[in-house]
Amino acid sequence: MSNRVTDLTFLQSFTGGNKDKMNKYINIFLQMCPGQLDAMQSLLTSGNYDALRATAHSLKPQITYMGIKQGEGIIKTIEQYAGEKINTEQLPALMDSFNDICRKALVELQEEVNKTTV
Amino acid sequence: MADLKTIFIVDDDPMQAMMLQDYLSKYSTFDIKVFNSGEECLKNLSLNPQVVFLDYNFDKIGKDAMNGTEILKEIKAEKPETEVVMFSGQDKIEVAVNSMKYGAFDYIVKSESAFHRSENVIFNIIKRMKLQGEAKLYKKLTLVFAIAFGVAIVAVIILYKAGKISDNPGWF
Repeated sequence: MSNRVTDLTFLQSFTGGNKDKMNKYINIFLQMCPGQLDAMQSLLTSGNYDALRATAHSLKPQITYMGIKQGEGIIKTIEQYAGEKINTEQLPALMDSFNDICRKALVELQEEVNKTTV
Repeated sequence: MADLKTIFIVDDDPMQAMMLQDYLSKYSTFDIKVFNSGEECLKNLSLNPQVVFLDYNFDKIGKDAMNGTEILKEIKAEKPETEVVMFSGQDKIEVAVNSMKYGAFDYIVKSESAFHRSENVIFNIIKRMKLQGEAKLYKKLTLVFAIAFGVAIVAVIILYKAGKISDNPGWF
């Protein structure tokens, strides 16, 4: 049974299975996502909910394009709670889950890129 | 004949901008220019884009960056004929309505289907441009015929009063 958190079906369809194009988009995500995760964590710690909402908002479409289905719902919730400043006590746990999922996704995506460039 | 040539993509998310550019690049007749801020887009309006795909939020650049609605208003003020399509991660109806209120042609939510929708929007814009072109042509033709008809009526009246023509055509 697969425990994969990424599903590259959309990306494969979008690029017509072109590995170079897929790697191009994956590499952008690999470059940007760690910084955005760190930023979100830092903004949460400092209680800057507006900026946390904005960062979650910009990361959201990339999570979808990379097929990180488990992360989609969580980031929407983070965006909503931070934006509306409600249920903020739940944000640390949500952020931890989201972080875990994204870190796994980054590993899987890096393997995907390595696999096709060898 | 309606001819769509120049498209702007304005988005501070490099992946989003690149994916849309790549998707639309299959149409080799389009000249696609990408800008990562509204300010850069506005500086380049002299290139006369027919379509602008415009992000709703520019949070990545900074707090002082113009937001999508402000840029939309400026584009429509300077180039009313340019069609602007708003792109956003928000699927709130009031955001869409607000965009349309300020002249956006359409509103697309960033998602897997956004790219195909963008393509359809371009086809709709081309259709509209064709229809507008045809409507202008018909207006001109109608005016020409109206003038010609008016001149003919005046000529008949003048000739009739001068006795050159009668109301009896002679074949009765």
